[in-house]
This record gives sequence, C-alpha cells and structure tokens, in this order.
Amino acid sequence: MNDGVLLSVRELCTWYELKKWGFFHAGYVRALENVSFDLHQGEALTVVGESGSGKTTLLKTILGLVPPTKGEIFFEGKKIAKALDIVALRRSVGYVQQDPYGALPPFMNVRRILLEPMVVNRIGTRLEREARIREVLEEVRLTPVDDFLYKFPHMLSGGQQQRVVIARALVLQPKMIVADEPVSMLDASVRVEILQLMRRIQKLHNLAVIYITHDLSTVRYFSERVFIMYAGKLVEEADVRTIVHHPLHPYTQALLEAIPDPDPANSKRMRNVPPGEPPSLVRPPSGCRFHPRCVHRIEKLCDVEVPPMFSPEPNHRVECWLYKS
Amino acid sequence: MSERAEEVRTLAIGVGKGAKQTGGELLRVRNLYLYFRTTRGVVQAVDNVSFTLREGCSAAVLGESGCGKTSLARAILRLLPRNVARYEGEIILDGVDTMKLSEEAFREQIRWRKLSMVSQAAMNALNPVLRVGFQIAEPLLVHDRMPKEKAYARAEEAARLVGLPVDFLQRYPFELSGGMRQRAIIAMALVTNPRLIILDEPTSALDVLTQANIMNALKRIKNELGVSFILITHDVATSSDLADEVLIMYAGQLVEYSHAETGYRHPLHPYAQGLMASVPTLREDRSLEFIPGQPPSLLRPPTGCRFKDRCPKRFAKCEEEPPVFRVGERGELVKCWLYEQTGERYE
Amino acid sequence: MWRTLKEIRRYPSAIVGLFIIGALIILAIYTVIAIPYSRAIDLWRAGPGTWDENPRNAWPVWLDFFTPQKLPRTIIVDLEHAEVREEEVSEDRKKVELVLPVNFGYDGFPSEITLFLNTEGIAPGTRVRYSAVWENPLGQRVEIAKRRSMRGSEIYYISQDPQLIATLGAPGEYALFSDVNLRVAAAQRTVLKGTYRLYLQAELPKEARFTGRLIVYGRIHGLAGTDHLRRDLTVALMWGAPVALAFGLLAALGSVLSTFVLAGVGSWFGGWVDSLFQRLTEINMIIPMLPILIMIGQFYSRSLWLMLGVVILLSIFSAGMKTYRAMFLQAKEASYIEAARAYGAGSGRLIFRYLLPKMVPVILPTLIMVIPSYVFLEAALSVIGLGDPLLPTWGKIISDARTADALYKGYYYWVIEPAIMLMLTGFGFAMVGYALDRVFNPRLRTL
Repeated sequence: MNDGVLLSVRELCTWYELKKWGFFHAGYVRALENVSFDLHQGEALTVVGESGSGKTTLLKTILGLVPPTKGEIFFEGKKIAKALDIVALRRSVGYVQQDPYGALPPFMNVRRILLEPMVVNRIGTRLEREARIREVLEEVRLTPVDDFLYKFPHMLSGGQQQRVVIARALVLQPKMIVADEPVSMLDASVRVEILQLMRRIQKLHNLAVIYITHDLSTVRYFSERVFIMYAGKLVEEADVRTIVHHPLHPYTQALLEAIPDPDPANSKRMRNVPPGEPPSLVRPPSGCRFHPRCVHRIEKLCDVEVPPMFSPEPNHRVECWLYKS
Repeated sequence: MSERAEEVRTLAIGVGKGAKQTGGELLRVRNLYLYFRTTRGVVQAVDNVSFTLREGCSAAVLGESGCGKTSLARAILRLLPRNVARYEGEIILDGVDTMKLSEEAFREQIRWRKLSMVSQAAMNALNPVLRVGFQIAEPLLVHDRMPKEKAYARAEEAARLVGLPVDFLQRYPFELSGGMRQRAIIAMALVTNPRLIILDEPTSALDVLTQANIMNALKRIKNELGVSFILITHDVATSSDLADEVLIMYAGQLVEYSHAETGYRHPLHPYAQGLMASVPTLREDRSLEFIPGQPPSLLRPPTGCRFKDRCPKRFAKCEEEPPVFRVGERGELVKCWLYEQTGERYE
Repeated sequence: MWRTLKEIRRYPSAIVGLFIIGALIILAIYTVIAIPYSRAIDLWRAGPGTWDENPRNAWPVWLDFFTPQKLPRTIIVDLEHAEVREEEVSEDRKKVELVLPVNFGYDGFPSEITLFLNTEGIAPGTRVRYSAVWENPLGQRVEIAKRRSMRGSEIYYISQDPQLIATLGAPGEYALFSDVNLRVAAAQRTVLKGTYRLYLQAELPKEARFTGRLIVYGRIHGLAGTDHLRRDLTVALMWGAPVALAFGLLAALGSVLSTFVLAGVGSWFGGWVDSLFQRLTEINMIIPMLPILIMIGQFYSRSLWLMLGVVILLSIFSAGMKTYRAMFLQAKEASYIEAARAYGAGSGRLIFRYLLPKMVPVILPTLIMVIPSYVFLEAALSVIGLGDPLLPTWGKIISDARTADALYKGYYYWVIEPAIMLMLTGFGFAMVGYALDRVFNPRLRTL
C-alpha cells in the first residue's frame, strides 16, 4: 500500500561539535554522513546498525531533536528548515522509545501521560481528549481502559509500559512512527506481543514507520525494507529477503554471519567474523569507513575514496567499491 | 547412548590441564534453595533446583527476567546479600560439598579457584585506577600468592586465549573499548584455571560482531582448556553458540534440563516450547508465537505448577506441583505432569 | 510519592521525630494565640512593673521534687487584706497600723523582701512618713524603717537596705528570717518557720489609706524559672518555638527551593546561563555568611526578618547548586523528557512539569534536614548578640544568660532549658529527615 512519498532525506549530515573547556573547538563527531532515502506513506522501514552506527542520530535529526549540519529533510513535500516546520513535523510523527522504564514520567499516571501531547499542542476539547485517550488505549489492548487510566508507570509491567509508550505516540494521530529499539529491553516472550501489536497498528492506519534496531533477526517481523548503517553511513538498502539471503556489502555479510539462530549445531563451529571494533567517529577512517575490517578491501581505492551508492539490482543499493557498475 | 559418547569424545580432544577423567560429574546441585527477605515479604528466588553437570559440558540457563537465573549463579558462588531468608541444599563441585565449607574455606578453595564468574555489565567492574594486566593477574597474586613474574605470564596466556592483544595489558580500563574490557574480565575469570566458569549475560551490552568474536573466544577456550561454562542469558539464540545442555528456569524453579538438540529443537516442557517459539529467527521462515500473561510473582508463588496459568497443555493434575521426571535415554529432566507415564521420578 | 511517604511509619526514630515536630508546631500555634506578638514584645521589654511579682533568677518549681528541702516560693501579702487599726488623732488625721502576716513554712531563705507602698486619697506629692517593724516567730522585733518618708508611692527594698544589713550583720532576707540576735553571716543561719509580721505605722490624712504589697520572694518560680530581669522564662521558651520554626522553615524553603529551581533552569539551558550560575555559586561559596551577617547587624539593623532575608539570599547560590545541577544534568537525559520534546513541549513546561517533579523526592529529605541548621543559625546570631533585639527567642535566652554569667552563678537552668529546646528541634527534624532519606533512597536501607 505505497502511497506518495512522505519523508524525503537528502545528503543528510549531522555532526556534533566537540568543545574543549566549554569554549574551544576540538573537532566534530561525524555521527551521520550523507544519508539519503525516501519513505512512502504506509511503508515500514528498518534501520539496522550497532551502537555508534548513527541510527539513533538519524532518528533524532528527523524528529528535530538535533539540528542537521548539512543536507535537507522534506516532509510531505515541504522542506523542514525553520523551527515552525519542526513543530508541524512533530505533530505528525510519533516517537516510541527504547526504554519503557525511562520513557514514561514516573510521577504522572497513564491518563496524564496520554493527555500531555494533546495539551502541549492545544488539540481537542476536553471531551475529545478523553475520548481519544480511551480510543488509543483500546488500540494497544490495555483493557479494561478504566483499570489503567489512573495507574502510575511503576505499577505496570514492562510490556504494559511499552504499550503506553506506543499509545502516546499514536495519540496525535500521526502519519509516521519512529521507533527506537522498541522491544530490546523487554523479555523475549513479551517482545513478540509488542512486535505484532505494532505491525497490526501500522497496517491498520497505513502508517509509515521507521524502526531502529541492532537485532537483525527481528527485522522480518517489522518491515519489508532494511537499511544497514555502519559508522554513520548508510551502507546497504534492500528488502528483507534479499538482505538475508544475498547480502552484498561485506559488513552486512559479517552481520549475518555473526547472528545466530537458536541452533544446537552452533556450538560446534566458529563464526567467521571480522575482528576489530567500529571506528571512532571523530577521526573516521578515510575512504570507506569499513575498510580497516574488510576482508575484501581493495588497496588504494577503499582506503582513499568514499564509495558512492551503487545499484547492482533494482531496489538494492550498496555503498561499496566492489559493485562499481 | 552412542551419540552421547561421540559428543564426549569430540570434546575430549584437546583437553588440557586441570581436567579430570571425562564423563564424570563436575557439578551436582541438589535441592538448592535461596530465598530473600524483602520489605514486601520473602522472595523465593531459587526453589528446589537440582541438576548435574557433567565434565567437559557447558550449559545455558535460559528464562525470562526474574526467573531466578542470576540468583542461581549467586547461590552456587555463594555471593549472597545480607537479606537471605533461606539458603540450603547440596552443591558438590568436583566431589566436594561446597555448602558444608566455612566462608573462609569457600573463599580459599572454591571461589576463583575451582569456580569463577563473569557477571553482568562486568566491564564496568574493572577498577579504573589499576592497569588491566594487574587486574587479570590479581586473583593469582591474592589466592595463590604466586610470584609476580609467574602471575603476569599466566595473565598473558589468559589474554591470548580471549583474544586480547598483549600490549593492552599495560593500559588502563578506560583506554579499552567495551569488547576489550569484557575480554579482560573473562581473562580474569580464567587465570586461575577454574573447572567451571559462570557467565551472566556476558555479551548483552556489546555489538553483534564483538559478541560473535567473544563467543568464538569462549568456544576456543572450551575446547582447549576443557573448562565448563554455565552461561546465563535471556538471549536464546546466542546461547546456542556455547551450550551442550540447556537449563530452563521459570519462576525460580528448574522446569527443563536437556541436551541442546532437545532443548532448542524439541523442547519438553510447555514453557520451553513457548519460549523457543518466541525467538525470532533470521534464516528460518517461521511465524512467532508468544506466551500470553506474565510470570507469577516470586513473593507468593501459586500452588501447584507455577506455569499452569499460562500453559496451553494444562489439565486437572496441574493443580498439584509436579515433581521432576527423568525422561528418555539421555536422562533429561522435566518438571511437568505430562511426563508422569514416560518418565521416572528424579530425586 | 505519597505511598513512599507512608513508608516512613516503619522507622521508629521517624515516628519520634514527627511527634516532636508535631508538639513544637502545636506549641507554636498555641503560643501565638495565647501570647500575641505585640504582647510578647511588651512582656519581654520588661518595663517597670511588668515582672514585679517574680523573683530574680529563680529556679523552676519542679526543682522542688528533687530536693528534700521545701524550697521557698514567693509570698505576696496584699495590703488590702491586711489587718488595719485606725486611731483618730485629730480632725483630719489618723494613726494607722497595718499588720501584714507572712506565713513562712519553707526550709530555705527567701531571695528578697520588698515592700510596694502606695498612698491613696491624698493629694499627689504629699509627703507621708511611716515606720515599719518586723516581728519573727520568736517574737523578736526589728525596726526596719523609722519615719521613712515617701511621696505618692515607693518601693522599699527591705532586704537590700544597707543600714539594715549593717545593723543585723547579714542581708535582710537572711537576717530577718532567722534568729536576730545571732550576729553571724548568712551561711551560718538557719531559717525560722512560722508566722512573721510586718507592722506598718504611719500618720495619714483621714481620707487616705495605704495600698500595695509586701512581697517575700521565693527561690523557685514557674515552669522554667526566671531570669535576671525577673522575666518568666516560659514566655521566651514558648515564643522561641514559633520563631524558630518560622525562621527555620522559611529560610529552608526559600533557599532550597530557589536553589533547586535555579539549578534546574541553569542545567536545562546550559551555555552562558549555566556558567553564570556556577561562577556565582563558586564566588558565593567562598564568601562566609556569618561575617556578612555580623556586619549587617552591626551597621544596619538587627531585625529578624532582615536577617532571614539576607540568610536566604546568601544560601541560594551555595553548594546545593552544584549537587542539584549534577542531578539535573543526568535527569534531563531521561527518555521521557526526550519524548516530551518530540511531541512538542516547550522549555518552560519541560523544566517545571517534567524535570523538577522528578527530583522532588530528593530534595524533600534535604529540606527537612536543613531546617534545624537555620534554627541553630538564628540561635547563634542571638548568642553573639546579633539577634532580633525585641523578640524573645531561645538564642536570646542563651545570650542573656551568657551576659549575666549564668553558669558561673549556678543558674544552670537558664542555659539548659533553651539548649534542650534547640536540641529537641534539631533531633526531631534530623530523625525525620534521615528516615525520609532512607525511604526515598532505597539503597540506603538495611534489611
């Protein structure tokens, strides 16, 4: 159900400035470098990356929580430049966070928590707000609603708290949801419930969703499209099946190799993964940021020039010199 | 039986110093209880757990948060807080009943000699003002009173085993990345050549690739040294990297103890079945199922089988708490009435 | 949060503390109603006539329980009820004799004997002469005044009359209450119990009469004793409560809340605002509060409310600023604040509705525990002489006691009573504060 393009990101760069003694400039953390993509209404997209890959920064930049250093963001065709644009953007984007235990203010009850976004944005009359709260609680299956309205976060389980977070993201009837590791802090069996819930809501309301996670094995249950990020760069983009069965970028391949399925045979064999750590983003490696760990690196090319995005197959993009077309 | 012997023989290859005869019992836990006193009552964290870990085998302890896995580790290592309400049972490690030892004897002979632990978020447990090499060698300096050169040599050996470059030993913890620090902690657990290492969520805070690297290192150690691991984690998929056997805990009780092949593929206990069905897989194309409801509170556990409220296979007899049955030729353990006919009671 | 507050019931020390605070509050309210502010000031000024009927430096009456002897209390004999014998002398004059009986049954000597005499029905300024004779139970008589002249009214300090002392060989309160013939020092005399009489003789115009009182001052008085100005210390002890509580509470609230809010604002905005606050704090931390208060008190005014204001001002940018800032810097990274930013909440709302409420449980114990330090500050200011000159407070009592060398003279009660009140206050708040600390910080608990 792909409608028009909802979100468009072009050459987006976000650098954090480092200051010495609070005053002196001491370099930049190049957290996000040259990311470009389109997101359509009703489309679900997963951004996969390890910590430090820039996935969280991407989310924060889209939400306007962090100002971009370079590049442009377009929402519903309009460029997001001024503060007012960001305000309008925020009303249409719901944010689901990772940590259910921290995402809800401990001193507010559920009703108050859900009321806040509407109060802040001056939406709805009192009656309309109360009705919407009930509606949204039903959607996330926190029923009977009256039982939950006056509870405080610490009275709820992890899964229930996450449902409240999702409800809060939905309360303004957004067109898009951005979810940062929505299930990673929940127990294994609860994860599935929440994943299914989110999928159902997304399909029901034709929402565009960006999921951010480090766990590639949950991707298939979230979305159709996958972005792989490494060290602030978008290195590969394809649909889930393609990524899993024939990944092109060496990092993606390593990632797949590294992730086990629960298979007793695993204990008998070693995993073929590259050594080393993700690079520092203050002084990232020259050229392709993965080259120090890449077994396929081409001397004098990968370590010198930044690879552009190639498209060896339709709907499959890779940023790697191996696929120079 | 022949399959099992085959496995054991495979692992017997490369068994190094410190291992006794293969096939024997390394750790035998019987009727272990650990209850805590809290402001709201007594928490039954570990409730009558019994199992036997054989030489050269590694086991994974799986379960949701709050099921008692970490408490089990603490109970075995006797790292107890002050508010213990009940702590009893038998823990026979290498033939010695550790529960009968005094605090001092336990500290000298068992802890960090025969048995060591890598705990959750251990990388924050490194002392920031001491060099990494010193900290790895510390157990030797303290316990065995080994001369410095010898201790440092052993530290280097341990570092090599975990994949920590030797020149990092001269550095301070803040100079090391998360993965490196975790390796340092594992080296610290290895350095006294223990028979058993308990790992509590050793890789939960690390990147996927680093995680895989560390798992590789652990596999190497397992094969080269013949050390046994007890890996406690809620990440079912990763645990399969190391586990020969699987312990599944629910609400403070041991509900299944089986070989990896059974535990991951055809689990016996309904909870284990539900748990395995809820693990997302990358390569296999299957739908996920979840277990509705929540685990019971450990403060006032329900009577009868603790899983009965969420169990799809529940029947009348489940109102009564099931004993542990020994099932199949491999002697796997299940705590479920479904196996009353096919199994024999396990004491 | 209220649920955690109920947890405090589990700590017996806190129950005791709450009890003490409650008692203090009740005392404060009662005092302010029973002895209103203006009256208290009046009383404490000890203008002439206010405390005439109190002995000087008397111990509290409950001292009697602890001594085998019966300690003397003040006896007041009103001239109105005295036996009067009148004798006409001439057309317009009469001879008058009043007999004032003093029933003295105590084991110790009184502290003072004073006669307050007024003439009524006479033109003001008319001179009257009177004589007074003292009779003790042994029947011995002493002439203590012979044709002593007075106009209108007079206060005759009998026991301090130097002539009497010279004649009798010991101060009046001792000599008149023992065997007169013994010419020994006070310490060697034994008190005589029985009825004493003072005969007052004078010649008066017909319409005139004497009024007044003979007061034989005891050595114990009141619940708390008296001070050198005969003031009943219970007034000051009672009034100390509302002053201490008000000062302590206001100072604590004013300073802690201000510090809290400013730290929140500073850490939220960061940048130059934060830097400014931090620099101000650092400078202020070095400046000592007490010398500044001394200077202000010395050169400007010692009014309590001014001191309170200055104390609050100086306390705002104190060490608390740094602690709270550290906590806020950490708290503002919380996910729910980020979420609120994402759904469009503005800075003001974020600070006051999201950030500050989270930290309230933390400052509550601090608030409680800081109250006694301000109470002590006020007392300390009073002791060094910078207290409010008008109000009776605990610190003032101690200050007066110190000036009058109370401890050297053995008036221990004068120092101990206010000290106990201060200690109780400190104790009460501290116990509650510590318990609250343990309630809100579970890690401090022991199981």
